[in-house]
Amino acid sequence: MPKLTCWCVRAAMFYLLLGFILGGLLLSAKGGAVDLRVWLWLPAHIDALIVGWMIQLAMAMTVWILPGRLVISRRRVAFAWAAFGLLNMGLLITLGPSLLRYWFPQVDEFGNAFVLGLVVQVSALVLFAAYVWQRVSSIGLPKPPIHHSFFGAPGFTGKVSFRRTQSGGISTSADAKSATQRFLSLLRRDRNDKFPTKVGRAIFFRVLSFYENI
Amino acid sequence: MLYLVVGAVWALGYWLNAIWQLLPTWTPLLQSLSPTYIHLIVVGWLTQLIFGVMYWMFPILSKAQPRGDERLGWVTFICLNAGLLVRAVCEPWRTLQPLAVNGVSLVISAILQVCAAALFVWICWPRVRERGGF
Repeated sequence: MPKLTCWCVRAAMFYLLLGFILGGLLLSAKGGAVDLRVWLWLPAHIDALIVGWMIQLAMAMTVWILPGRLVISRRRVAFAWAAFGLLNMGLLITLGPSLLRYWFPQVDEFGNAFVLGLVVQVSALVLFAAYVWQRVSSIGLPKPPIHHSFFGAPGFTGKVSFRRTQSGGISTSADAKSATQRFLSLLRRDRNDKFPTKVGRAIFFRVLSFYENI
Repeated sequence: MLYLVVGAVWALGYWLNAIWQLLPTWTPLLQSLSPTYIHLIVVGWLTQLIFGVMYWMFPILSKAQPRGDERLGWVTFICLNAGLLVRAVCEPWRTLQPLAVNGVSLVISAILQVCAAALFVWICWPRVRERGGF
């Protein structure tokens, strides 16, 4: 799995454990074994499990599983890392003061910090959406040459390998490059049949220009 | 899936009664179902489904023991379900009639669920490994 997914999953598992421990304390307080003031941790329990565990895990799986991970631009990848950093910063901003309220219930600023943390978390999710957008934007279009439709291109015999280079570009084998060009030229020739609507053609040309720059 | 169905039915009963008071004689019982129904859905169905899929799909450790010690996986499953079932019975019961027995049961339920989460993290942590990509 990619590095970002690893970090997200590890962080998610940390929040799973934290959220369950907080929940266990809340339940024990209901059972009469723990001071009832631990109920001040209810918002932290909910935030840790919903955002820290579930949403973060969903982000991790999205990064891993959606198509186009190796061909997406580096700038977009930076969006995803920034989203991961911001989300966890937001979680710390919400959880820290929420937990401290147990010992310092008279401090009103903790409520403000909780809201600030939520704002940071939402910003992170917006950034993540901006990253994911490019990876789902080709839904409904014919599969790009990086996938199996590529093998149907006439004259293609070699093995396809697309890798990101150190300089940030995408490298392919010469055979794959020429087959890509043939595949794209066939699509361009038949575009009016394959994409009868203006919107469809506009999206097609956007994707086409993306792959022609590979 | 069973937790999802039971949780959804409980949620329906709780909210139908909360909004329209359809069954006035059942009101105390139906009111006692919150927040248990939320946990049946979120822990029993959603989190357990995530646990199952992660256990199944994450990169394997080795060909001999692809998912580590399977017994630990079973212990996690038993702890989570035992904890949740005890909670499903004792939390509404304690709301209706606070007794020592249901208080202790809730503490046991909490311990079992925390143990399940800790064991799951223990099992899955070594399987989160970097391989290719950014």
